[in-house]
Amino acid sequence: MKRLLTATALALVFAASAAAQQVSDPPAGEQPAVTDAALAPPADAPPVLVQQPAPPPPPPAPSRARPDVASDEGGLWGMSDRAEMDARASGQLERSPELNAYLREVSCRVAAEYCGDIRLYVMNRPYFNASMAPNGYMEVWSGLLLRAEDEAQLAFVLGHEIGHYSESHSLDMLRTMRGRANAAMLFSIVAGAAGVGIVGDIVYLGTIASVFGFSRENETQSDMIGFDHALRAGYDPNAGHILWTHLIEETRASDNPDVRRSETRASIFRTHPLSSDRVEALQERARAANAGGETHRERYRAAIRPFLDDWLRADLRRRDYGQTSVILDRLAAHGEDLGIVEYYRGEINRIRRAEGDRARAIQHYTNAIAQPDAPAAAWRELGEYAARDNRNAEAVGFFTTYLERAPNAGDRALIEARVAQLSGGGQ
Amino acid sequence: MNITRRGLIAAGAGSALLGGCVAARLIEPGPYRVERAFTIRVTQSWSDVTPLARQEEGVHLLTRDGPALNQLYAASIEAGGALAFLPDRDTPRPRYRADMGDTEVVEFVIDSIAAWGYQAPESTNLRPQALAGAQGVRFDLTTRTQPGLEITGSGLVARNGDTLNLLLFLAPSEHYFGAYAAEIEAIMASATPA
Repeated sequence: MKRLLTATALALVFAASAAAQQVSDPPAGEQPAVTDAALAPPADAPPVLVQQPAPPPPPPAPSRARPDVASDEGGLWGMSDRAEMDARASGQLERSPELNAYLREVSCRVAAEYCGDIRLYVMNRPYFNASMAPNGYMEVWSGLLLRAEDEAQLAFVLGHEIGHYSESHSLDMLRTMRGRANAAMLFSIVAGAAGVGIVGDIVYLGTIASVFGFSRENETQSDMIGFDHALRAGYDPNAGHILWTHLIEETRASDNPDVRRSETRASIFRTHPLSSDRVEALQERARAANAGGETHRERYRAAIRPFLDDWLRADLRRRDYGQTSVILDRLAAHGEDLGIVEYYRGEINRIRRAEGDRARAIQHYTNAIAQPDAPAAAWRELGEYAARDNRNAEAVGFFTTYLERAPNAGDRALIEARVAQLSGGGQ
Repeated sequence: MNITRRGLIAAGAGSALLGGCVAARLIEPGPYRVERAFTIRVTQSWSDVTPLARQEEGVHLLTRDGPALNQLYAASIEAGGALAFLPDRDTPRPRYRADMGDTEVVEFVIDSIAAWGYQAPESTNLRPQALAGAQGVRFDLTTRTQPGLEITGSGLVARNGDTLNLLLFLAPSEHYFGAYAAEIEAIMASATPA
């Protein structure tokens, strides 16, 4: 959990203090216009009336200018520049053009007025978090995308982060901290990170920032801004309080007593401490809105479906089976992706090995292989259980099906050797 | 004055003790014993840096050019033990279980690599291979460091009773893995029971 806190503390730096470099790459999904003269028709050729696709519109201009580098806000931008450079090279960066284009589209739909400011990066980190730096550098973690049920919930979170950005909460936080003990030292670090003198230490600042975080007032205000953004964009007004409630439920389901005791304050949403009054405020707002709105659940699920396997594997590696079970239950709520959901339920039981888990694992794998989207590994695990029970013929059948369904399996040679052994009457 | 002298003596003794505790140990070409489990033979000089960073019980870390450039883990792990040392005792970590199957043992290694903070580690090319006379599993792996450096690895694991014997090599894909591939093959092939 402390690893999580450290990572989250760093993330908070982005939201709480950062500043950014100018990014010249085209936005994800946009291709540069083809201008090669060799592609032009000869001058004497008859005109061909072919409908050319309209060139993509240029990205909108940012809504705010870069501050003076010598100012405190300029220091925050400099810090964000460095953090954004690290993110762009990070081994955690998810580079899928489709997913990045989808998220950018949603973020611009949620807050069109800031579309030119936002540079969004999806990071493969199995925790619920998002952040937005003062320079427009935004991170969305894969753990958030795994936990959001629909586009409306994602839109609410993006709107919430944009709220921190539009209200300059990180600058407020820095200025508040400057009034406290040792704040001069802290400011020198921030200024140094902007390249105006001392070399800053982002890790150190991250640690400090994690102590302070945004104030409850900042969080509540961003909730309301996120709510308004999402509502204006036509999303379901209930998305915010449903998402927050789900996060609290997930924390209560944790295997770790410390996490359960800490609620969400020091767990999956460290930088955005949740409380029942925030949930109630959003519920009240949703009732007052009295509007339908769309969840766009199906298209959200379609966008994240290709990543479910990787994200669930990463979540399973946290070894908090109570929380992962809650996520799986939520994924299964609409009867979709049941092959992969049942497979990972089986994985929880196989790895945990608590009393009764063996029978449960076999049942979940059996449920999985009845679904069209079952991972091939479900047959392999059933083969392993059958082999251990000396049901060799059955084991060979499962292993053979596994190899048929995963012809390029990384463990093919091993499984083939196992099949040969079992077929020869071994074990 | 006496206090100062005593302080100096204490500081000197402490430094010497500390220095002795954290020093890397040069391993000359020849045999290197991993616990009481198995012995490997190195043909070049390696450094045993196990004392420099705390490891789990039975886990040794060797390197040629520093752990950032190449790491050879040589381990003998008892049932219930771990490969990945995590300073936070509350963070759950992968633990070896004596009833693990072959693919589960490789999964244990891959999950341990993830617990160290490597990104999306994946095993490939699992195949039967002996380690110190015991039938085991050989595998290749790919992963990335958090800042984005591509890493290639090679592992060999074998169970001996309730104990897991392991050799695992990790190095940057560019240059370093290939530079030591032949040496690692020779080391894996050299393992004999202790």
